[in-house]
Order: sequence, then structure tokens, then C-alpha cells
Amino acid sequence: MNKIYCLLLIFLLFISGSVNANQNDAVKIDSLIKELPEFNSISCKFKQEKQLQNISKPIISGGNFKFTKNEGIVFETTYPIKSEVSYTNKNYKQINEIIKAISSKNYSKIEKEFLIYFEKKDSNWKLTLKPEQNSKTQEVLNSITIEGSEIINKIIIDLKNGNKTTIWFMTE
Amino acid sequence: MVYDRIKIIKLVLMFILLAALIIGALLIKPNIETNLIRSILPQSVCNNTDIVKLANKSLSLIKVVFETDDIESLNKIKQSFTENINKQEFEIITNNSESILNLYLSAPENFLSYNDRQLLKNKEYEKLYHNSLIKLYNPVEVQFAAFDKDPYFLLNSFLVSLIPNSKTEDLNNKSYDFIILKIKDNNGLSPSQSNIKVKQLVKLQKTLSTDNTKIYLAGTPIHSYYASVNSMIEINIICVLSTLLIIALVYFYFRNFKLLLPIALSMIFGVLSGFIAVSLLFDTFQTITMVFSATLIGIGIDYSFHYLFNKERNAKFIKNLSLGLFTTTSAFVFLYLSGIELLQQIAVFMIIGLITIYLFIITFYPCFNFPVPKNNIHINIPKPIKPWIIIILLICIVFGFFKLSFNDSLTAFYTPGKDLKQAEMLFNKVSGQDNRQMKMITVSGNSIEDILQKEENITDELNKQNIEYTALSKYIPSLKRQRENTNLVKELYKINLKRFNNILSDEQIKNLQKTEYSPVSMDIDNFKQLKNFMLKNNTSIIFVNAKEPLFTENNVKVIDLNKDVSSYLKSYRITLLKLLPIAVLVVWIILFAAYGKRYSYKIIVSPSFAILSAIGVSGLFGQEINLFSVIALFLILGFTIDYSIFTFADGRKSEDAILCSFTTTAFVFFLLSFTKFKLISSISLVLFIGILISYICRKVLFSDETEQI
Repeated sequence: MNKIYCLLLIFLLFISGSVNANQNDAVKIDSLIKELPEFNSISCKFKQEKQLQNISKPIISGGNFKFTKNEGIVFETTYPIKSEVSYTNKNYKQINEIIKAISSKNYSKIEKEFLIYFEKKDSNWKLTLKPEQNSKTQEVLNSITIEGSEIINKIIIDLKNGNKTTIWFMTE
Repeated sequence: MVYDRIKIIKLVLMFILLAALIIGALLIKPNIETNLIRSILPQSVCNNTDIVKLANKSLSLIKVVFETDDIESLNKIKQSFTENINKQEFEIITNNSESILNLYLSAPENFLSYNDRQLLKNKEYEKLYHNSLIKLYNPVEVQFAAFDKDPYFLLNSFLVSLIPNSKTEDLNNKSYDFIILKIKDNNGLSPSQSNIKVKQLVKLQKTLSTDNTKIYLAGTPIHSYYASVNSMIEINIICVLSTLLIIALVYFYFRNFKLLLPIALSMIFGVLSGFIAVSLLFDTFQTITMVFSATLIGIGIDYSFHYLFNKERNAKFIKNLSLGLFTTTSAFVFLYLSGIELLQQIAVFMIIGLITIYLFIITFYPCFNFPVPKNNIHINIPKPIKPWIIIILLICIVFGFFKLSFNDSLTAFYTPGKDLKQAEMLFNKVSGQDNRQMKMITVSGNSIEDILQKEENITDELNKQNIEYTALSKYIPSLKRQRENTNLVKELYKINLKRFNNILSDEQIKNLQKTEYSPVSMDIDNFKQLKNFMLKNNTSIIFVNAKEPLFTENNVKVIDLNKDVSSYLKSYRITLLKLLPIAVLVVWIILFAAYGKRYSYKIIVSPSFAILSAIGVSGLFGQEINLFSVIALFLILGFTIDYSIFTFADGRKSEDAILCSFTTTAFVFFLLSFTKFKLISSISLVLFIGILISYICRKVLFSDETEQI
């Protein structure tokens, strides 16, 4: 369950906005907080590609993504199967508490678990989160990379077991 | 001259006897029984059931929770703590989850959750396939085994099924970790020895804790430590204050401190002889007996006061003192007749102790030249108030009996302090373990495989009823179960695996269908956290989280530790309550034989009224009655019968002696009723109320000027 929290944290950070920092040095979230945008409710499409260890073909899916402030997030997969995974007040309460914390700009949890790297080129930026040494997340996760410009465009979750998940967000 | 010679001989004899008693007490070295549950349960139950062993398990486990602001500090403090623990005295039970996970990964087909197993048995392959797709396409699902080894995410489901359904709580943005320590060789340790070990941990906790880095300690040994530390401080204060009161009273009345020596000597004789008697007559000496034996001092000192205040000390005095002894010890005989070893020990201690004090006073007190009392106090209750006192007490009795409630639960005797409660709750949150509603099922077998198979028969039934549990077989399925699981999964792969042919290659599908996983056996010694499920070599425990009584198929014995022990406590309480009126009757018969009908009634009225009032007032103020409250009622009879005997025997002449007896006894129990140790405070409150009411009733019901034998 802890692993899922950490993966979810990143969805809540940057829906829109831009910040400045250098990729090579880990930065403190405090220095980025002022430049981070207000975290508002959003609906968009998503496409996911999972590269699994020992599997040659990527696993492709897609659907609708929704974040509602004070309620949580929902992934509604529409192809190739129909399913819905939600992290709301009713389901997965603990995860949702973290979502609420982030949406109210309480990022201290992220800073405890991750080293944060940031890079910007023109209007495009890239934020990388790497687990702190000896953290529990470090056992399963290599890194989480978020790319965006005005909104988040892409998230890459790189796991230690060789699996890699890339999610693209597209506004309608 | 002859008289002086007799005096000297007596004094020499006294010191010889004292030395003999001290040497005897030192040489005897009884087996001290510290286990409260062993103290309460009959010997046959202790020997033949697992209740005591189950209770003992918790006696040696200490839970340690680490709290910091960040992970780096968390690792540092955990390391410091574990490095500084005395490994000779504590064993660290660590969570070897990585090793177990590797074991599961080596044969993922062998381990199935209950739900998946049912789906496989019912051949609901499409449902399994659909569930696996949901997990596959879930953006945040992390697969433990590689997809080409476990396409149906069966190992994921199994691992999730191991996580208890604890209510997830917000852990207030801090980082937490925990370990469990086991005190080595704890079974034979006395409380003081165990507390010495715990004290080291407490010291380490205080050394390493800072404002941002905290260590919490929880578990039965920690509760025992703080209960005894707090009790020791409180009892020491009470001892000092009550000793000061005795000294003050002696000085007020006699202007002489030398009296304290013979008084102290009589107490020492009584306590030592009581101790030796119990040690010789019983296999073990129970610590609760020592707690109650302190009341011997309260009754014993009364005899000294009666002697000191009585100028004549003639045959009449001896008769009254003897009768006081006889009636008091008669009340305690009924404790012996209850058949409960703990109560029998208390009875023997009190009877032998009182007889010794009595003999000491009769034999040796004449050797001392006691001064005459210089002062006297006469407490008079105004006549107009007397009826009102009786009316109020009668109302208390009547209404109190209607509101009377009983609580025979073991937990009624102890309420943890705020910090300890917080530590326990924190451990439950951090570890996901919550033993508050735990029942236990013990499973015996010839081997681990036998035990696991028997467990699985039981846990299958628990799963059907959706009852939450943890057991060894949940983590290590039996070899038989693993083979069944493998066969079920092979059947699934044979029929349904080709559904994944858009993801898996033909070769991968063939490999999955061909691969044979052997059952995996685990050596419990390599996984200390699993040893927690073993009660003894051939018996395991299933911990069941259920409020309601469970099924009893296959002669399965469900142990609810609290409930089982409480049922014994309840039966003892009922037995004693039935014996109480008989005890009062017997005492009255003795008084009848000594003093005739009229005075026997008058003497027995005050203690009887006091007993009823103590029950009534307890009921009125919501104080629940338990076994030890009922023992206190017997003590009320024993303590206060002497007040009435001497009132009617000596009238006003005995008033100061009775006042001193009452004051010293009531003072001690009044103070003890405020101790944090609930067992002692509840008994003391009942005793204080009873003694106070008996003293007042005696003054109210009968005039000490006109009523005299």
C-alpha cells in the first residue's frame, strides 16, 4: 500500500505551472512551493503504456482521468477493458489523506521520501523524484519522472523489477 | 525477684524466637508465584490447559515503536537502540519480510489467497482472467512476481490477503518503525528481576529520545514495571504517613516513643510466622498474598492498642481479646473453605499471623512497663443526628443494591496510564496488529505439517464466515495445500492461459504450463516473527478477531483469555458471596456462646451493617463488585468485630483504644483507595467505607455509657 501512495503523490504535484531549478542538484520543495500552481480539479484523457519485464510487447490502455479537489482521483480505463480505480474519501482513505495534504500544499511527505531534481528548457520542464536511500520506497522504485509545460504531459514510473509505466495526459 | 527472673527469661525467649523466625524465613525460600492467572486458576486448570501458557506469552514480549520526522533519523535511532540492548537479556524478534517474500517468489503458484482458491476450485477462470486484467491495466498496481511467472497476479492477491484489515489511520506525517523484544528466560523470573531488565530499557528509551525522535515502549512487562514503580512510590509514601500517624498517636496518648518497639516486634512476629506458615503449607507463595498480608498489620496493631489502653489487663480483658481473635479468625476460616488456593493462602497468613500477635502480646507484653495513657478523647454523636445517619445508610443500602453491578473481568483490576495507552495504540496502528478483541484457538499436532493441515481445516471455516484471523498456515500453507494449489493453477493455465497470447509468447505460455513447483517448506526458526504462533513445540495458536462466540466443530477449543479467566473469577466471587452470610452467622454463634443472646445481637449488628453499607455505597457510586471486593467484605467483618466486642466489654474505657485502631486502619485504607493500581484501590475503598460505617454505627446504635456487658 505504501508503494501505491508514493506513486500517486506525483500526480498531484504539478497539473499546471512552471518552476526553476537545476537537474543535477537535489532541491528542497520549499524553494519550489511559491512557484507551484494552485491545485484545481481537472478532467482529461490518459493513455498508458506499460513495459513489463520479459514481455516484448508494451501493454497499452487508456481512458479518462479525473481529479476532484477534496474528493480524490479516478482512473476510468475504457480500452482495452472497462474498469475504474478510484482513490477517494470512500476508498483507500489513507491514500486520499495524502492527496488532500498535497492539494493543500502540504508537501512534507514527498520531501521525506524523495530526492527532487528539476530541469527546465524554454517552456518545458522535467521533475524527477528518486527515493531516499534506506526508504521503503527505494526497495521497489527507481524513479518517477514528470514532464510538462503548461500542464503535465507525461509521467514515467520506473520500477526496480524492470517494469516501466508511461502515462500521457491529453486535454480534450 | 522471681517475677523479674521470669521477665528476663521471657525477654530472652522472645529474642530467641525472633531470631528463629528470621532465620526460618530466610532459609525457607519459597517459590514465588508472580503470574496472576496461575494465582487465580485451580491447579488442574493450570496444568491441563493452555490458558496459562497463552497468558505467559504476552508476559515476555515488549513492543518498541520509533517515531521521527524523517527516515534517516528513524534508521539511526533504531540502530542505536538495537545496538545498545543487552543481547544476553533480550532477543530481538525482527520482521524478516524480505526472506519470506523471496521464498514466495521462488514458487508463486504454491501460494493462493482464499478467494482465488475458491475461484479456482469452482473453475471460475474468466473471473480470474478479468481480475488480472484490471490489475494489469491499473496504473499504480505493482506486481511482485514477473508477469511471465504470474500472469493472473495470484501472488499479489496472496500477499494482500496477509495484510490485516486494520483501519488505516493517519500517522500524522511522521516516520515510524517498530521491533518486538522478547525477555529471555522470563518464566522463572520474579517481578523484581523482570523489572530490573525492563528498567534498563526504560533508561535507554530516555537516553535516546529527543524532542523530534521518540521511542515508545509497550507490552505487559512495561505495564508491570510502571505499575510496580508507581505502586512502590505510593505505598512507600503511605507506609511513611501511617507510621507517622502511629508515632503521633502513641506520643499523644503516652508521651513515650519506647512503646513503638514492642508494637513493632509484635508485627514482625506476626508477619514472619504468617510467611513461614504459608511457605510450608503451599507449593508456591503468591505475591497477591503478600499484598493482603499487609492488612494483618492493621488488625494486629489493634490488639496492641487494646492492651496499652486497658489498665487492668485482667481475665475479663484476656477473654475479650481472645474472643476478638476467635471471631476474626473464624471469618478468615471461610476464605480457606472456599477451596481457592489464593484465598486459602490469605486465610492461613492472617490466622497464623493474628494468633502469633495475640500470643506475643499475652506472653511478652507483661514484661514491659507500659506507661498509663495521659490523654483521652471522647467522640460523641449528638442524639438528634443519630436517626438520620441510620436513615441515610438504609437509603444507601436499598438504592445501592438496586444499582449494584459486577465486573469479573481481569481488565477491571488494571487501567493503564495515558502514556502507556498511547504507546499501545501507536503500536497497533504502526504494526497493523490489534489484539483487543483477540480470541485464540490452539492446534496440536505431531509435526508442523500436521499442525498446518489442522489449522487449514479451521481457517477454511473462518474464511467462510468472513472472520479475520492470523495463523501460521496463513504464511506457510501446508505442503498438502501447496500441492493442491499448484494443481489448481496448472488446471487454470491449461484451460485459460491462452487468453494472454496477445501479451505472452507461445514459449512463455508453454513454460508456465510445464513448470512444476515443488512445495516449499519453511524452517520457523529462520523466521522469528512466525515463532510467535507457536505456543509450544507441538501446539500453534490461531489468533481470531471476533466478538461473537465461534463455531465448535471438530472439538475446536476457542480461548478467550479474558473471558475464560473472568468466568473463574465470577465463580469464586459467587462462592464467597454465599459464604459471607454463613461467616457472619458463625461469628454470631460464637458471640452468643460467649455473651448470650442480647449482647451477641448488639455486637454483630455494626459489622453486619457495615458490610451491607459497603456494598450499598459501592452500588450507589457505580463501583463494580468483583472477587477482591468480596474478600474486602470478609476483612471488614474481621477488622470491625473487635470494635463492637470491646465497646460492650469495656464501655468508655476502651473508647481511646478503639479510636486509635479505627484511625490507623481507616487512614491507611483511605490513602490506598487513591493508588493508581486499581486492584488495591478498589479493595481499599470498600474497606475504608466498611470500617468507617462500622465505627459510626457502633456509636449511633448503642450508647457506650449504658450498654456494657
